[in-house]
Amino acid sequence: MKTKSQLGSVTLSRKAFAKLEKMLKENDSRNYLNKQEKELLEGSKKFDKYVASIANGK
Amino acid sequence: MENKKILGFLPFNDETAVGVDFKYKQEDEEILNFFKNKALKCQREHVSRCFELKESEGIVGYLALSLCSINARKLKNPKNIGLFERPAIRIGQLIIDETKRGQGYGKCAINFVISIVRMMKWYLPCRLLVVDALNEKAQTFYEKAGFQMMEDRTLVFDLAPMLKQ
Repeated sequence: MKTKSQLGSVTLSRKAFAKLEKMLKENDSRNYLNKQEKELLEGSKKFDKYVASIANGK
Repeated sequence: MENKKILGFLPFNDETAVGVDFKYKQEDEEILNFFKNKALKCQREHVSRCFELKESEGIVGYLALSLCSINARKLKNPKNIGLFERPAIRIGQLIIDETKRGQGYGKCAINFVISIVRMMKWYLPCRLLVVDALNEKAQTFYEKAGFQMMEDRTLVFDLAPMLKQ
């Protein structure tokens, strides 16, 4: 897969931004992880030591 | 990707040689050219951080990350500035070798980014990942990973529930 070449800010329409805010509000009140989030969280933990070592310049 | 495989993310440096034996489609040339010609400059200027995705057989992809702001269009009233903005980490460029696609490397890249955000949260909070998918295939990939489509192939992933854990 690939992504677009952009480094600047992301500008959304007011409607899309409202959709984003709604999602954030819902997630703020949610105290559990869905299946995708659980998988990603577990997957990310495998890189924790690696990420720390990069930060330490190793 | 099989867990037995070890994928490393090597930060770009002066000796990084992009594109040697890297298989890509013509339509991906622009992305590869970014890594060949601009990535190191962007990194030196602290605009983005670029990584080679390396496994035992060699380089399987490239990843560029940067910080950005997601904002709402037409903020004419200065009072609104700041109220309609959200900081985010942008997956600016991600390309996987043509012969290595569908093997989980892209998902590993997202895992890697999430690990960075989880580490960052103690110093700089940032709950959103944002990506502009270039085509339908990329869009499907990010949606399967849990990103939500906002508009025009701009997808967002909210890490807040994860950051509470």
